[in-house]
Amino acid sequence: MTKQCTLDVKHLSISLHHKTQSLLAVQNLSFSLYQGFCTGIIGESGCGKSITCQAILGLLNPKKWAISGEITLNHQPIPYQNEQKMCKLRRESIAFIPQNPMSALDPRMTIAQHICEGIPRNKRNAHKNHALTLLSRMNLSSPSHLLQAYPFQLSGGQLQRVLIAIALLSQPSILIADEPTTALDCQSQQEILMILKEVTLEHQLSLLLISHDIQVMEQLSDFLYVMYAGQMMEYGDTKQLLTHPNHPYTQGLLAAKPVSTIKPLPTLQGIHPPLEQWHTSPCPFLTRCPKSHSSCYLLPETYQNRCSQVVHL
Amino acid sequence: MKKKRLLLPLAPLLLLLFLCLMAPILSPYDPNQLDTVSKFLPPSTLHPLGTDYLGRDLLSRLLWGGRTTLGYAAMISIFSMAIGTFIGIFSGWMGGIIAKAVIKSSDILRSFPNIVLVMIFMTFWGTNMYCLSLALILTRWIWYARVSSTITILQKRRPSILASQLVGCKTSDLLIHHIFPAILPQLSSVFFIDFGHTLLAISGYSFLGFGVLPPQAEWGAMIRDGQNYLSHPEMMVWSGLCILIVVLSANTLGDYIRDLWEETHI
Amino acid sequence: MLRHLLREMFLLIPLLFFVSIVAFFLVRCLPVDGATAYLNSIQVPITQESLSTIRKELGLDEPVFIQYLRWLGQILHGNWGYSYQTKRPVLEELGRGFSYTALLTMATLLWIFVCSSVLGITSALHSNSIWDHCVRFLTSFLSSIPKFWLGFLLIIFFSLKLKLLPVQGVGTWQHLILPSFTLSCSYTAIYTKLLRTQILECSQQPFIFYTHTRGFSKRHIMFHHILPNTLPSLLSSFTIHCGSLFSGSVLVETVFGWPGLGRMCVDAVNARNYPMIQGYILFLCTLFVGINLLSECLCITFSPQYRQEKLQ
Repeated sequence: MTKQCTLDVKHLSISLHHKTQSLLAVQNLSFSLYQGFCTGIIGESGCGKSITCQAILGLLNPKKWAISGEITLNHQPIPYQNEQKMCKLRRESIAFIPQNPMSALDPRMTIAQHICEGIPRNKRNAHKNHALTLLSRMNLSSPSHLLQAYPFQLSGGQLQRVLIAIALLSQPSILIADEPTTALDCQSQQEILMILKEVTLEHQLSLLLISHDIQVMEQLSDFLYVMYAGQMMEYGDTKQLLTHPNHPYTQGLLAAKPVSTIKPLPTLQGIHPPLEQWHTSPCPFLTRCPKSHSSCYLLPETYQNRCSQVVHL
Repeated sequence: MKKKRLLLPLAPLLLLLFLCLMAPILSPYDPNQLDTVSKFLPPSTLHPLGTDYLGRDLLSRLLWGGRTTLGYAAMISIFSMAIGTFIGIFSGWMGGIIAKAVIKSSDILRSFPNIVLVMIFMTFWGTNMYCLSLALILTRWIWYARVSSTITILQKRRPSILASQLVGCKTSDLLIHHIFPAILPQLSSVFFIDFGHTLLAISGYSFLGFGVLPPQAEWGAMIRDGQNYLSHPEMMVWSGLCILIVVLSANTLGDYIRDLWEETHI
Repeated sequence: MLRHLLREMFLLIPLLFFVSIVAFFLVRCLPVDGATAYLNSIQVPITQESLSTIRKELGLDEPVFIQYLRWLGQILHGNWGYSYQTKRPVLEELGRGFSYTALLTMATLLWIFVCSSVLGITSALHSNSIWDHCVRFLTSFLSSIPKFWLGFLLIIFFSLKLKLLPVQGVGTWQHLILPSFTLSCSYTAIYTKLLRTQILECSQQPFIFYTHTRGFSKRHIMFHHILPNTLPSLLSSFTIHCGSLFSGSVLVETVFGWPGLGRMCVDAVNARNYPMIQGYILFLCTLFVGINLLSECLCITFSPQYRQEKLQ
């Protein structure tokens, strides 16, 4: 199967002007993104992964950072000098998902205002409907109520899903996810990874996934690049790399993993209910419990007896 | 670079303070010596800054006026700082409703125009310099109280303070040797900025006719004298310039101390 | 929000009562007896007979509580007494003074808004450049300069030397330029510094970086995200300064001969015009309470988080 290359990074070097000297943050980095595939960059915190993302997006301050190398999108060089063209590129071709969803959105604006920002008035309704379709696809309950909420009223998992929907609204060809699950709980992490996998295949995106978590890479990425201190240590097909790592750093990363498994972890159906729904039924877990029974809807003593039988407390 | 930054505001402030302190030695004439023949004289070797509408030497009035203005400003600032710090530390240490009352009243006082409060005070107790000083101290101590109170409340919860209390350290020792040094940097920053504001306030009230009475020399009063003779601006230019230099230096110094403290603590 | 507003206004009534008690008793605490002060103002010789007549006339022989209730009734009916100097009703004088002060304040706010937004935004956009250093020096300079001295310098330069603007007084819009500019200088310094700091702080926020990644232009981000997020802190500073602006700047009004509230206060204090002083205190406190309410409304409107805290 021929892979279509969308983003090609060749010999990227980024240095920081610090007082009188220049410090090399990223050295001679080369990687490619392919349509419909996920490329992962793994490395510890502070190894230069986020700086690479910012460089691709053209958001590094030229007074502080010096960038050399070649970055092409669909075989055309990216026009970093032209701010207007870069804005157009970020709006239409490259989308970004940040690490911390709780601080990614302007606290003064509702989700609907964020979605419709920059859209002409006559196209806003169509845009909102498209957003609602995407949000309901992401397993969010009552997306229409969500649109009227402010970011501080939503949870991390909900916000990350909203951010993915906003990213997909512009129908980009490249999606850069900078540690999208680091700030979330385990349950939300799994769901976000599932969503990212589905959208990559469905919309034929090139996903660049940045993480320090090897389990995330195992689940999602097709190609893996291992980064350390701004340099590429090893790269290749994910499964190949993780079963037969060559570089000692990769071997060390794998050895530090708590559980070694290629299979995705089982997830619970549904999502954690909002506060208003916690006390609508005797047992709060009723709607998601795989072992629920009609007697669970009865008085608390009855379902407690049943759970103690089922769970052997 | 840091030392250069400190020198810039400190030098003019110290220079003016020194010159005004040395007024009895440096001033060529008595500041209230009238000589109606030589009024409005231009600058010359006899009168380096010229003379005013009553023939009084402007340089002498400037130096003696500086003694009055700077002296009163320093006294008011020091007294307000002493009272405010004491009440602030006490209320912060006691906590609860006393601390809340201090902070709430400082918020109200901050938005209420001070000039009105001082005017009302002077209506009842007179408009001379002592009443003005008292009025200014009564309105300004609350700034120091707020800063001291806020920092004391934060410092009170430090593990080292709790440990000292457990060991049996006396409260007075804790307040003097632990809490007060923690407050000192911010307090000194506030002191310099407040000194500038107090100076502006004193010269402002003297300009309005309260506080210093004629013929005593004072920088604000010199501007008041000059307002009827705008065709001879030298009467008011020099005193205003001195006020500007001192307040600018004090403000810059206060900002510098605050920046220094923030750099080491954040 | 309306319910919250009404509840706040209801809570203000006891505060206003307290203010009226303070204003009433302040004048009673005077070292000079009220009857003596009145006789002095109408230039009637002070004898035992005239004092007792006046006391009966002004109701000063009645119990204090009755005097307060009578005085409160008069206040609520709009009778705030008569000024010793001009013999006109105090409320009328205060109203006239307030209209001039309000005019001056509006012009000052316009100067503050224009100058501080231009200086603050440009210095934040070009931080650490020569322009930024110039603006920072200018703000230090403006916050240190004595207002009355600056006023005179401007008069000497613009009115006497260049003969462009009138020296003092009221009349045309040209009379408003110099006093409002002089008054705005120190506040412009404060707001420029505040705006610059807030813009720089806000630009470092994660949501601004995310908005950049979405492809919005720098101008869009400045006007739709950064500036609106600086509003809450600017508004809270504004409420602190609003009180002093509306009470009338005594110094500027004296320098430019502007017949506003500030000058009225100085004249009243100098002349021991007690009804005027009492009316001024009451007027100012009511104004102050009203401004606090207005600022509460503005904060609720512009900050959704504050709104949620307050209305729940």
